[in-house]
Parts: sequence; C-alpha cells; structure tokens
Amino acid sequence: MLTYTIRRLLIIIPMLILASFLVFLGLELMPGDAVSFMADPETLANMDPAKLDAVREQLGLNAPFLVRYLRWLSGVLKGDFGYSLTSGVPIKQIVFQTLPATIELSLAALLFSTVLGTILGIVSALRRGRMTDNVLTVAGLLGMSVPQFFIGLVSLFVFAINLGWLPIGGRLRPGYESFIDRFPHLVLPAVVLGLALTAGVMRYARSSMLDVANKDFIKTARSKGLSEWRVNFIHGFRVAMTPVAILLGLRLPTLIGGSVVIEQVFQWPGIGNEFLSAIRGQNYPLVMMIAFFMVLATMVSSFLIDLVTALLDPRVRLS
Amino acid sequence: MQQEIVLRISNLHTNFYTNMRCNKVLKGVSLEVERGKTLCIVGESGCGKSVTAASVMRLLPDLARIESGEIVLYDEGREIHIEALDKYGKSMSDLRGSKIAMIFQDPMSALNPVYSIGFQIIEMIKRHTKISASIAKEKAVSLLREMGISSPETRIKDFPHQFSGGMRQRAMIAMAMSCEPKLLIADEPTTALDVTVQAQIFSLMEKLKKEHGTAVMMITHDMGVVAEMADDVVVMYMGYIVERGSVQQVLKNSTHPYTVGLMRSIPMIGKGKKQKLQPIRGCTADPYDTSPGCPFVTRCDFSIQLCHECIPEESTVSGNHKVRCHNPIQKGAVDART
Repeated sequence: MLTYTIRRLLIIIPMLILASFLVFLGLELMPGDAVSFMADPETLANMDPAKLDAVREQLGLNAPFLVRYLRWLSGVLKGDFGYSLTSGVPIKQIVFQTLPATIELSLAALLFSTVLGTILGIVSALRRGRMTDNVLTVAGLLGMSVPQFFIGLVSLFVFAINLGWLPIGGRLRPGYESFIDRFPHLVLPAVVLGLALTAGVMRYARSSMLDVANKDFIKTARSKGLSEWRVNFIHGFRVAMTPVAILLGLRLPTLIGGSVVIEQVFQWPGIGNEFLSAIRGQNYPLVMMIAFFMVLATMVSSFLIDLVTALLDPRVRLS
Repeated sequence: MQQEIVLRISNLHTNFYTNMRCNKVLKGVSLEVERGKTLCIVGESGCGKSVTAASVMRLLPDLARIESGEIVLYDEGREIHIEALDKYGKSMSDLRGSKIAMIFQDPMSALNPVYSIGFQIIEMIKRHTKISASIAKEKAVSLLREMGISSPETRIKDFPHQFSGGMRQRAMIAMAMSCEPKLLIADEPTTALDVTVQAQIFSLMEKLKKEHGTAVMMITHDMGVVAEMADDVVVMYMGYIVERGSVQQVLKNSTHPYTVGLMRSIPMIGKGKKQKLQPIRGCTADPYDTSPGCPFVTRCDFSIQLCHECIPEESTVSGNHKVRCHNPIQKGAVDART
C-alpha cells in the first residue's frame, strides 16, 4: 500500500511539469509581452526600437524560450506566480483568497453526491423493477440532463426567494463567519453543483450492485449461511463500490469545471468567478495560473480517489 | 457396513415461473445420499442437476419455487424438512454452511476478490460456532494445511488473486469443510481446472470423505469423473431421474438408452483416433413441450409405441438399480451393437 501511494505520488510530478509547460506555452503564444503592458500603446509605438530592445534585454525577455520557462518555473516554485494585468495584485494573493471557497464548495458537492448517490443507487438496486426504482431512474435522468445553471436559477427562485429558507447567494455575511453560520450559504450551490454527479453515481452504483449480485462469490456467501445483510453489504457493497470510485475520479474535473458556472449563479466568491472575470478582461497570466491550479486540484483529487480505490480492492494495490 | 442416510429427496418438483410461463424443471426427483459416500448426478446442461442442488440449499432464484416433494436432512436422529423452512429464515441459514456446504464450479469467481482467504474462512467459522477470533484463525490455518496448502500461516493473509486455480478450489473446500458439514454439495468442482489439478482435488475429496464421513453430492457432466469418484450414480434427463443405482450397476450395466448413449459418446484412450464416437442424435427437447410421452423418445433408438403415449414409471432392474424406461436395454444387446 505504501509503495503504491509513493508510486502514485511520483506520477503526479511529470504531469505537473507538463501542465506548467503548457501554461507557459499558452502565455508565450498570447500577443504582446511584459513590456507592452508596462507602457500605453501610444508611447510604445513612438519608442526607439533600440531602446525597446534594451529594455527587453534588461528584463530577460530576449532569452531563449526554454531559459525563460525555467526562470518562470523556478519563480512559481518559490511562490511567485506573477501579477494580475488589470489590478496589479499578485496572482498568489488572488488565488489564496478565492481557492479555499472553491475547494469548500467542490468538496461539499463531492461529499453530497457520493453519499446520496450511493445510498439511492443501493436502494434502487435492492428494489429493482419496483416503483422506487422507476422513480429514481427518471429522477436520475432529469438530474443528468437538465443544465446546472437552469437548476441553479430555479432552486434560487424556489428555496431562496419564494420560500426564504436559504440565503440568496454569497458565502458569508460579515460578522457571521463560523462554519455553522456559513453552512446555509453552502447548501444550494453544493447541491446544485453535485446534482449531475449524484445522478451519475446513483446509476453507476445501481448497475454495479446488480452486477455484483449475480457474481458467484455472492452465491458462495449465501451458501455459507451468512445473513442477507452481510451478503449485500460486507460482500456485495465493497466490491460494487470500486467502479463507483473510478467514476468519481473521472468526473471530478467536471465538478471543478462546473464550479465556474455555479459560482457565477450563486455569487460564490471562488476561483471560478475570478476565472470568468479574468477571461473577460483578457488577463492572461491570471487565466493561466488559475487553469494551472485547476489542473493541480484535479490531480490531487484523482490521487485521493486512487487511494480509495486501492483501499477498496487489493488487486489495485498489488498490480 | 450399516448404511446411514444423510439426505433423502423424495418426489421433488421445482418450477420456474418465467416469461409468464411455468417451466417444470424437476418432475419428481428422488434420491438418497449416504454418509461417507459420493452420489454423482450426471446429465446434460439444463437437465436439472444444478436446480436439484439449489433446491437442497434453498438458494433457488426468486422466480423458482419448490412445488411439492420432500427434502429431508438426517442430523443426529433429527429429521429436518428443508422444503418446509423459510428460505430467508434463520433456521435455513443456520443449516447452510454448518450442515450442508457447497463448492462451486469456478474457484476463480467463487471467492470474494476483496477479502483475504483467511477472512473468508474465519467469517464462516464464526458464523456457525461461538469460538474466539484467534482460535478460529488457528482452525483456518490447520484446515488450509490439511488441504495441502504449504505455509498456510502466511498464505492465509493472501487474497484470492494470489492463489492459483487449484489452490483456490482447495481454499473453497477448506471453507466448506470448516464446520464439518454432514453433506458437501460439489457443483462441477473441477470443470474449470486442468486435469492434473483435477486429480489432486479428487484425491483430496476422497480423503475428506473417508476421514470425516462427509456425504458428497457431486454434480457433473463428465462420465470420467463419475467412474473415478462415485459410489452411487443418478442420471438425469429433462427433470427426470432416468436411471439410478450403484456406479457398477449404472456404468457397467446401463439399461436406459440415454445412459447408454452417454457412455458411447466418451472417447477412449487407446482406441486411437479412428474410433467411432456416437453422439446422441437430436437435441434436448423444448422444456415447454407438453406431449404426453417419454421426454427422450425423439432421440431414442429403442422407442416403442408406448413411449409416445405416456411417461414410464420407475422400475427396478436389480436391487437398488432403478430405471425409468418402457423398453430398457438388456445386457448383451448393447455389447452386440458396439
């Protein structure tokens, strides 16, 4: 298990380097360079080309691509992510301000969809072909196919405006900043963000449970005289959960990507909101760094999912 | 030796209710399994041999039902009517594993891949006895050793995928034997194993039968297995027992045309590749066919007019050797033909 964990961690490193390279390449391909952002276009056009070149030389912008990449990378490793073009604020500061809110939202959505999806999936499988199963199947299809922003707006309208049960948006009210106080703000965005995943997990858990129920080892477990509960949950459930964990690993990027839309709908002060305004403002360094952080988040979470899979199924750890 | 019957099935009817129709899978099966003896049930796919086993275990699918008949387990003077128990009830699950244990065809899939071999054996021991975890573990180790698995102390922590096919079947047998069952049902236990491993598994089962006095009910379609393992044989066809008796009586002195057909379709070592195999012509009848005659009549070379009219009753050939045929083959008649 330890070797598996270490091996799995080591795989992340080359992937991160590749991602950082792509980010830098993206920055490089954008029109203009640092100098063109330092002065307004008019002065820039009237500047002596030799002087301009001297400034570039001084800033190290004339160095070969790879050298600049390595300089940039060592800066990133030291925590120097560059500056936002529009506000001049260090990107590091922006990321650290907004990332925790996004992580909170994504984790809440993940937790919600895993727990609820699994429970509904099992209920659906154990009551196959009956009313409960049919209702859940239709609900699952709806949950998967109706767009998130639509569900988001409708749920805001119903639960926040009409019923007034939950706050309309935002993450907290000034002065009420403990988790308990913030929780009502979290409910709607997390549920809406997790809904599509819940439906997916439910369908997957259902078919996985049904699949496992026909396996020979379930027959063996019954022939051992074990109780139905033990047969279904000790023997069936654990085996059935492995594909569900893999599904979660595959769907995590959509959860992180989906938070961009949801944060907009619910005015959640997360990194997704920042991402959207950075794109609108053509704030490329910020866009690239946020993209890089999304890659990082995806990799870390899929690493965690892999660990869960390995815990569930010994064959994964040893292969 | 005084014969001691462990399991008696009499006139068992089991139906499957599928596609809005009723498929009568077992149409009056009667058999007995004796202590320390092996009863082999032979027959082609779909003849009802596995359903017989599942009926005894009460592990039939939800669509199936035991319609009538008796399944009686004799346990230390008690008569347990299995057919009358609730299939999901505690008294039935108390029997499973402790009095009747079962091993399956494919040891690759019969063990749960996510739990260690030890966990799965100990789980069974703890279900049926009140011993502590450490004693249960010791017992599991000694069982594995008895099954011929080397260094069981370490192998007990292994997962099924770390075992070879033969070892998995040994582990399955160790698990099945862990509560000293009266009856061991083996559903084609060696079909998925290669021949050398087959022989090892058989000698292991033979040993257990002798040492523990376990009665074995073995389901197979391999006549070689029957010749090697069986004390008694039951030949099934389309839900009927067509012939039963001791292995000598049934194999050497087959009287039912179906048994004879089965015997003739076995290739023999030494006869060379020119030997003429005679498969049974035709194919298995439609289970929903309701014509009144013998179910084998369309494939039978010895049928007479009566065979088309009614199903034959079981008649005695000699002693325990019984056959369900209107026109059983006399000894000599077969030899003359082959």
